[in-house]
Amino acid sequence: MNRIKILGIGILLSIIFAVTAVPTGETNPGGIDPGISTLVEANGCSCHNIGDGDMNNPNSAVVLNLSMPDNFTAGETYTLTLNISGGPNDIAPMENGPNMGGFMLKVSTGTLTPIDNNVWKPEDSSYLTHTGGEEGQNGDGNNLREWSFNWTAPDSDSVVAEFMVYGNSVNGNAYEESGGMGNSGDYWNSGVFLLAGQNAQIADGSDYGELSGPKKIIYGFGIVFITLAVVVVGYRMVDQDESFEEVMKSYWRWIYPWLTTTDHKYIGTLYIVTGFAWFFIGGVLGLLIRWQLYEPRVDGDFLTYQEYNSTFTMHGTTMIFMAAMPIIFGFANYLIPLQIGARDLAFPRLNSFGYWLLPTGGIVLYMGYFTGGAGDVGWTGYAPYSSGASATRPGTDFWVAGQLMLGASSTLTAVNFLVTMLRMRAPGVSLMKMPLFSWSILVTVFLLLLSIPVFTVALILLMADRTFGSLYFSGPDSDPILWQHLFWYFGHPEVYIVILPAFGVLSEIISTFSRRPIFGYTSMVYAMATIGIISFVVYGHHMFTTGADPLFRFIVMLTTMLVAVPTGIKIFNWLATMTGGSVVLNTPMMFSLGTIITFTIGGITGIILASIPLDIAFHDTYFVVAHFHYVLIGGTMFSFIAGVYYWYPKMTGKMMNEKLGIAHFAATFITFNAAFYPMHNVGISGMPRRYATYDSSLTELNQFISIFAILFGLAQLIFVYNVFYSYRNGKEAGDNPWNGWSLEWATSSPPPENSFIEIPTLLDAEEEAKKSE
Amino acid sequence: MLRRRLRKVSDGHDEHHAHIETPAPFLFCVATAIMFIGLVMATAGGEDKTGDTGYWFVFILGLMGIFTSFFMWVQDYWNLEGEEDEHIETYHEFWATISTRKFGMWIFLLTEVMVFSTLLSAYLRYRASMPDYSPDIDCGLYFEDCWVPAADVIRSHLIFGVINTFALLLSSLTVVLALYAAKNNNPKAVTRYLTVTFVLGALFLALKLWEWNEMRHYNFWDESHNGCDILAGQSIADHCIAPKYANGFWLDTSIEGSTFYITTGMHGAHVFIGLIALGYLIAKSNKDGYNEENHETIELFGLYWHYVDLVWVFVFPFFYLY
Repeated sequence: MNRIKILGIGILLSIIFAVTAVPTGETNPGGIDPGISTLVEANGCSCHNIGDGDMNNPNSAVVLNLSMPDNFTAGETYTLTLNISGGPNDIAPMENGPNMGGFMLKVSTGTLTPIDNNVWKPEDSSYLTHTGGEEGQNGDGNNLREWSFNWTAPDSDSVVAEFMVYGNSVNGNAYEESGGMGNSGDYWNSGVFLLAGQNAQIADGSDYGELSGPKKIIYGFGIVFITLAVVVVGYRMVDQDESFEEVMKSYWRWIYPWLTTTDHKYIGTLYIVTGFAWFFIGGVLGLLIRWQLYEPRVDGDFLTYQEYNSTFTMHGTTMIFMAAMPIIFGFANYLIPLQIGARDLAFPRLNSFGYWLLPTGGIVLYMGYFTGGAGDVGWTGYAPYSSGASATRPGTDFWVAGQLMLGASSTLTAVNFLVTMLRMRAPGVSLMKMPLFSWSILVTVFLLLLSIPVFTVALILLMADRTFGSLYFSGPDSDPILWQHLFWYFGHPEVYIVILPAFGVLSEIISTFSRRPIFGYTSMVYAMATIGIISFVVYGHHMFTTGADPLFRFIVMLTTMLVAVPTGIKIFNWLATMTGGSVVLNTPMMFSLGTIITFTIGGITGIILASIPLDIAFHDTYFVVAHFHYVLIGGTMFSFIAGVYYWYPKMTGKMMNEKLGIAHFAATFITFNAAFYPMHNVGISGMPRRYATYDSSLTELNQFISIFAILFGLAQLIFVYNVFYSYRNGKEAGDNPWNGWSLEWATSSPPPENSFIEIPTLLDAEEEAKKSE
Repeated sequence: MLRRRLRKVSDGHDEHHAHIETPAPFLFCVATAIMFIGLVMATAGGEDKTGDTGYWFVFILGLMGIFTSFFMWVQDYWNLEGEEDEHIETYHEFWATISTRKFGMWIFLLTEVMVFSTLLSAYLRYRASMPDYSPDIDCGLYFEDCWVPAADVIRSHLIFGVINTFALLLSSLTVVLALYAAKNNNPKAVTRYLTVTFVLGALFLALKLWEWNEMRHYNFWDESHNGCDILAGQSIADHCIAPKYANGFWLDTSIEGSTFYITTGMHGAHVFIGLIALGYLIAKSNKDGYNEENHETIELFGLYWHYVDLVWVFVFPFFYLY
């Protein structure tokens, strides 16, 4: 059967199955139902105006007032009072009965309970109404203008309770001679009262019948997209005199290869572009953080405190999983087959699958923003907050689901790379002859394979707790520290996963621009492997304040300090490479030097934090934030920007503008250090991380940081401009603009569709020299 | 336009392999995203954040999309020739002993080892924190200070766990027999053995679901029934296991329940996915037959199935016997 048929049958079956298999949703009873209780629930007290009043028009002379607390706590019971004034029952001599007023009240969540016999709750209903109105209902309810009752809050305090009140102001002519119902001349009014839970916010301008979040976004995007499409397509049809079909076909011909490619070069490009796009989104979130921290603020001043929690959560998750890792996989995808002399990866379709899980997973991750708040649990998702009712819902569930997809993407990509690098190297490319970037990816994928599945399981356990009520982290006997162990067993190798490829890029760039091979290739390889192995036994240094066993903590402190040794070996090797060579100080080299300086500072603060007594003071302060931004931005981001400047000519065939590049470097390096260095100081002064405000004595430093952070963000625009400008107007690059000697520089720029027509053989340097004689 | 492109151009040098184009991975991911959005909104959305039932439609749509994409993906292998295309040269002897795809499967199983290690570690961590139930120690009013394992709940009905174990072990054997049959050019036997494997796997799942259902609602401490007495020991027949299981044994009852159901559930999910892949193998075997040149897929599936069996060999004693 061909593909179209399968697709068509699949869609048809899906729809049929979904329609028949899904449980029916609840419907609101309409006005046709028999029985007074249903009618009342649908129409409130407006039925009182059947006589000569207007059933459809409330009378604003009737004023309803419902006394409520400021917000509610989950599960608590509150006594509320409803008061009606205005309308006929204020006309003398109507002060006291009979038939002064009536009401009907329903609420969207929680339970209502009468507390005296002036109020009753009809059987099988969830609303309250006054007594005395119907036969058999003893009580004085309809002779009053004020009623009290109890309301028990629901289990979640992230929701807003909506009280719908109908009130009746009666003119006392209970029965007319004509035998009518006696409700002529009564006035009625209705109102909605909102009561937010402690962790909820009342959205501005929320009226009845508003579209849900996801629907709004989808309709909004749809309208924008359709408008743009009409304009673009229409313009092209008029200007180029093409028919609609021709325009559509040409766009389809352009986009279809991108959606269906399994070529490592295209997938690499997709990864890099997607990664940088999410990097900027994460950067915007970072700027929101810095603006919130510009000065001490109260809840809701710029962001509410809960929104702030979502902001730093999504900032961290986006930067690590949606920016850093995709950029790494992008460069790996593009370069590894070229560097080891393979045609493509071992499993090309799996490669495509690994890529497409990224944008789709990112969308799932961000769905929380459209449903009342993205996940607010920190990128580390500590239990029991993340497994409990206070975390945003369903935002946190989307956070979990999105990361499950991203984890699957990383794991499958890691399998792909490991098989490729071990089995598909060209003749002569033995393991100890591979370029150092390839080696860094080889070690990285080992770390990925062994750590991501653990995180995936931890997420599944968290999801089970949240969705099915299991008790891994949320019960009375559960252990929240279990989450920390599972998370950090993954979390620490994860940060080495993002730094090792950066080391690989550095090795490539420094050797090329020092005009000599890396000093100590063998020790570089062993250093990376050692870092990889040790990374699994240091994770406890994130848990020094959990009350863990002192022996465990001591061993972890030693191993954490130990991992500085292989890292130091690498740094000294880079310096030695430059010392013996003739250094070219162009943009990629400047960024690499910037990396070494910045990463070393970050590494030193890492050793400071490895010391248990110091960590106990600095844990969860801005000192830690400074440390990891120094190693992540200084280490990972600077290296990969250097990588872009270095490999852009190879991927696009155009050179990037060198002057803009140096300007970008200068602006970035200065603003980065100005923004992040003072964080060490505020951290030592005690400013906690993940707090939406701080002690006012630290205001000047924070303002300094925020201003330079904004400038840091702006500096990146130079880079964006350079990338796009050079794509159109850059100088032709030629095959090997930098005179590099790894295999990727032997192909054209950009490489042909088929990277290698014949698999080459890597010869010894002497044999290579003999060949060209 | 949705046809696969795979040109082999021979011009005297090595064969050129153009890259194939396939929309299946893209569609699979879109369907997965739709499924997750539906699942999360159906379980945690809506006004009161406990679930918006309308989204189950979206969830099922996503699930069906996943199945459709899966069929599109394997369609490339549907014709027998598809099996041969994947041969990739290796130039380094040390790594050349097994094929690329087999190597990939072994690495994938390594990640699966990490998955089940994590689940079992979490279980052992909790189990080690509390003493096991015994009439000689003070377990609290509802036995909440002791670990009352699933094994106690299951003990009187252990036969089903034993049947499950044998079913799975036998199914590992039948998969190997299917592989031998393929190598010996006996396509009908291949189909038969694969079908038996499927039946055994389905039996495993059916028994497991039945077991779960029984345990979920049963009253395991019905005092009025026989006057449960701690000293008298535990007996399902007398409805005497633990007061905390008076309303059934389910994953929200206790940590014993959570660890039991999540771990055996994850294992069951892996069996289920294996059955889906096995369905594809049976369909293909029925159509063309595997033969001595084309049987690698059966071997790859066999590796995965053996792994699932191996996990059961750990899960069964840890949860059902201990």
